[in-house]
Amino acid sequence: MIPPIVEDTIVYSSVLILLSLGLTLTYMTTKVPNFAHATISIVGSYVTLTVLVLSLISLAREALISQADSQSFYRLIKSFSFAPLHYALFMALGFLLGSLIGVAQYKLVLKPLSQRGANVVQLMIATIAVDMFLLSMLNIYADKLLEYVVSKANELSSIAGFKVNLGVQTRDFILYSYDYSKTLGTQRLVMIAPVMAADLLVALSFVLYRTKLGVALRASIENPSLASTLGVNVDKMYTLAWALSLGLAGLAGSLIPLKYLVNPSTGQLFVLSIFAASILGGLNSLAGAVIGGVLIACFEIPVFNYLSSHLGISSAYRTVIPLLAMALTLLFIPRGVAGLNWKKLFSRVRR
Amino acid sequence: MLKVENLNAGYGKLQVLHEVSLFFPERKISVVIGPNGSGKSTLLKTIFGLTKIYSGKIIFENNDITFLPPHKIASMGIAYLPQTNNVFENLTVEENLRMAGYNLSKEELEARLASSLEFFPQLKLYMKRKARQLSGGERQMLAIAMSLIRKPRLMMFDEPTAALAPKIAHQVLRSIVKLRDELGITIILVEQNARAALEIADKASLLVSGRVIFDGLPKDLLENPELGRMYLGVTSSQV
Amino acid sequence: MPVEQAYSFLLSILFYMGIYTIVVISLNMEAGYMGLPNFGKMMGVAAGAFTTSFFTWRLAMYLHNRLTGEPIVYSDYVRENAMIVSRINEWLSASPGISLFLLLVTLIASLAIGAVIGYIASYPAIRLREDYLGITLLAMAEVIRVIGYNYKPIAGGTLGMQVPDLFRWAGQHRFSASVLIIVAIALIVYLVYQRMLSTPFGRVLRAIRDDEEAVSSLGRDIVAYRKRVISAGTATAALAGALYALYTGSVIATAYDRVTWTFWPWVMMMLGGAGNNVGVLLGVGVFVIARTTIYTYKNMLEAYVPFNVVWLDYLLLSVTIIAILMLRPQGILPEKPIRTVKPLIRQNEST
Ligand SMILES: Nc1ncnc2c1ncn2[C@@H]1O[C@H](COP(=O)(O)OP(=O)(O)O)[C@@H](O)[C@H]1O
Ligand SMILES: [Mg+2]
Repeated sequence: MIPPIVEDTIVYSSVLILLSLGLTLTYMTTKVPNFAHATISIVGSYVTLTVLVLSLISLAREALISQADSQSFYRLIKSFSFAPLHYALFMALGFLLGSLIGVAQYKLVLKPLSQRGANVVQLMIATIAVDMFLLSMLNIYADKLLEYVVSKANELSSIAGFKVNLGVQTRDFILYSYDYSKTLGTQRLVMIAPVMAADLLVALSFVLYRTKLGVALRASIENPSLASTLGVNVDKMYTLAWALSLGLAGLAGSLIPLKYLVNPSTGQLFVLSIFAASILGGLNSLAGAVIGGVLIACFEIPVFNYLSSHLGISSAYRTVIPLLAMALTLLFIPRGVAGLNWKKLFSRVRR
Repeated sequence: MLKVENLNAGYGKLQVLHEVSLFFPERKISVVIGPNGSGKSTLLKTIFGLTKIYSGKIIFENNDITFLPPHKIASMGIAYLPQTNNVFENLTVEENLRMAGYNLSKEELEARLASSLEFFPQLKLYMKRKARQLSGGERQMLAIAMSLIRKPRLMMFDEPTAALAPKIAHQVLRSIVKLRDELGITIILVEQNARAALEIADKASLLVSGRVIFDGLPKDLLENPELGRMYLGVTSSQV
Repeated sequence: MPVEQAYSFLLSILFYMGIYTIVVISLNMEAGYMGLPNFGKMMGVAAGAFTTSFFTWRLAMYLHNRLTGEPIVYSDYVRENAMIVSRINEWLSASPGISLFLLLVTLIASLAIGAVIGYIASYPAIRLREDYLGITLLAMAEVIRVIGYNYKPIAGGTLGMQVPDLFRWAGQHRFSASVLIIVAIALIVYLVYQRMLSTPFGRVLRAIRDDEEAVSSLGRDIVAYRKRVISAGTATAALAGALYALYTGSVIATAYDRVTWTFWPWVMMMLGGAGNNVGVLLGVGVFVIARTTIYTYKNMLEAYVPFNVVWLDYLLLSVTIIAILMLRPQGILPEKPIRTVKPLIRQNEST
C-alpha cells in the first residue's frame, strides 16, 4: 500500500510537470507568460465531466429499457467506473480541445497583437483577457451542462416511473469514485498520471532532440530570424509549440477532477503553482520546468504537511507555499534551477 | 538577377535606408562597402524580409519579393550569412549544419554536408558539441559552412571575414570566388575589409548613412581620390 | 419611489467613480506612465480594507472606553465583533468630531500600510524584467488575500468583519455625506497626481517606460523609481480600500478579487488612454456607469441574455480588453506626445 501522501505527491507532481512544461514552452516561443494556461487545462476537466455525463446517461437509458427497478438501477449507476476506453477518450479529447484553444489564442490574439507592435505588458493583459473569456465560457458551460443533466434525468424519470438522479455536479465536482479500482485498492490515476507524464516527457524529448521538426522548433525558439532565413516557417513552429503545450495542459486537466475538486475558477489559483514551478525551473528550460514541477509539488504536499503538523500552520495557507518558493527563487536564483545548478553540475562533470 | 528600387526601410520608426536603388548582376560578385552604421547589414536584412519596408521594391529573377516572409524568400534560392548571431548556440554543430539544409532532400543534405565539411575539417571534431562552446573563429567557420550547405542562386555574405585570422579570411574570400566560378552563384558581399573584397569584386557600391553614394566598377571606386581617402582608408600615396 | 431609486442609483455611481478614480489614477502612474505591469493592484485595495477592519474598531473601542468610562466587555473579539461595532456605532453617531478623527487616522494608517506592503510585495522582482514583476505582483496580491481570508483577527476569516460607521453622525444623510467625502478625497487624489505627474518626475517615468536602455545610464535609479512608484501606487489604492470598507460597513476577504480590483481598473485605464489622466476619468466613468447599469438591471437583462447575467461581466471585461488592444491600443484619449529623453538628461544634470 502506498501512503496517501505519496500518492498525492506523485499525482500532483505529474500534473504540475505537464502544465509547467507547456507554460515554459509557450513562454520560450512568444516570450509572454500565458495567464490563461491553467484555465485551458480546466477545459480538459470539463471534457472528462462531459464524458462521464454522457456515459452515465446512456448507461441509465439502457438500464431503464431493460426495465430495471429503482434499487438495481441505483446499484448500477453507483458502480459505474471508467473503462480504459473512457480514459483514452477524455485524455485524447482534452488534448485536442486544449491544443485547439492554444492555437486560437496564438493565431487570433497574440500573433496579430505582436504584429501590431504590442509590448510584453499588453500581451500579458491580452492573455488575462483570454483567461477571463474562457472562465466565463466555462461557467456558462457548467450551467448549461447542469440544465442538460437535469432535463435528461427528468426525461429518464418519466420512463422509469421513479425519480432518477444521476448524482452529477457541474461545479465543485470530484470524480474520485469513478476512478477507484478495487483490484488496485486505490485510484487508477496513481498509475496513469505518472506513466502519462513520463511517456509524454520521453516523447517530447524524442521529438525535440531527435527529429528534424524538433530541431527546427528549438532553432526557431533560439533565433527566429536566423531560422527563417534558413527556410523554416517560424510561425508554423510556434503554432505547433502552442498546440503541443496547451494540448498537454488539456490532457493534464482531464485528469485533475479524478482526484481534486474542480470548478470553473480552479485555474485562477492553480495558475500560480504552475508559474511557481516554471519560474523555479528558470522559465527558459524544459528540464527546469520538470524539476520545478516536482519541487513545487514536494513543497506543497510533503514539506507543507510536515510544517502544518509540526508547527501548527493552518492547511489553508498551502496556496502561499508555491508563491513563497517563487519569491525566494526570484530573490536568490532569478534564473531558476536550470540557470544555476545545472551549469555548475555540467562543468564539474566535464572536468 | 536582383534589383532593389527606391527602397526605404528601417526598424519600427527608425528609418535606416533612404531611396536605395541597386542592381546585382547574375554570376557576379557585388561588393557593398561603407562605414559602420551606414546600413549595409540593414540592406541585406531588408532583402531577406527581416526589417520594416516603408516603400520601394525588391525584384528577384522577375519576381517581386518585397513583402514575402523570410522562409519563402529562402525557398526561392536566396541564402544569407548574417553578421552576428549567425549560428544557433544551443544546437550542436551537426544540428546547426542540418538546419542550414532544412529545405534539402535527405540525400542531397548528406552530400552537401560532406563537401562543406571538406572546407573546414576542424568542424568534424566538434560535431556533437554545442555551438556556444566554440571560439569566435570556429563559430564563424561554422556559419560559413552553413551558408555553403545550400546551393542557392543568390548568396549574401555580411562581413564573413570579420572575426577570422588573415590566412583563413583569405581562404574564405577565395572560396567565395569559387562559388561564383564553379557553381555560378550570384554573390552580394558586404565587407569592412574593403581592399581585399574589392580585389575579387566585379561591381562595387558604397553606402553612406543609408544612401548609395557610389555604384560602379571596383576599379573606379579605388581610384576615386575623394571617396577612396574617406571611405577606404587608402592614402593618396598608396594609390 | 422612482426618484428615490434614481437618487440611490446616482449615489452608487458617484461612489464607485470616486473609489475607482483613486485606484485607476494610481495604476495609471504605475502602468500608464512607467510601464510597470501591476497585475496585483487589488493588493493595495485589500491592504486598505484590512487595515480598516483590523485597526479602526480597535482604536474606536479604545477611545470609547477611555472617553465614556463604560468599557465594552467581550471574550472573543472576532466572534463578537458585530456586537462591539454596534456599541461603538451608537456612541459614534453622536460624535462627528471623533468620527472624522477616526476617518483621518484610518486613511493615514492605510496609506502607510499600503506603502509598506507595496514595497515588500514587489521586492523579489523589482530588479527583474516586466513579465517577472507582473507575475510576482499578481501572486503577492493573492498571498495578501489568502492571509486576510484565513487569519481571522484581520478580517474575520470566512465570515468577514464589521467596521465602525464613521458617517453615522449624518443620520438619514449618511450615504450622501459619505459619498460626498469620498468624491472629495478622489478629487484631491486626482489633483495631486495630476500635479505630481506633470513635473519632471512624470517625464522620467515615461522615459523609463519608453526606452529603458537609454535611461539605464542612471543605473540603479530605475529600481529606485520603481520602488517609489509601486509604494506610492499601492498606498493610494489602500486609501480606496479603506474608503470602500468604511462606506460598505464591513470587510470580507472574498470581496477583494482580481477581477474587481485589478483587471477592471486595467480596462478603465486602457480605455481612457494609458498615460493620460483625463483618460482615466473617462475610462472610470464609462465602465462604472456600464457595470452599475448592468448590475441594477440584471433582472431585466436576464430575458435577453441566454445565460446567467453574472458571466456577462467577465465577457465584457475580456472582449473590451481585446478590442482595445486590437483597435485602439493607445485608448480613446492617447497620451500627448512629449520628448521624454531630453528632459531626463536635464533632470539628471540638475541632480
Ligand atoms: N535591430 C535593430 N533595431 C534598431 N536599429 C538597428 C537595428 N540594427 C541596426 N540598427 C541601426 O541601424 C543603423 C544601421 O545599422 P547596420 O545596418 O547594422 O549598419 P552596418 O551594417 O553598415 O554597420 C544603425 O544606426 C543601427 O544602430
Ligand atoms: Mg553590419
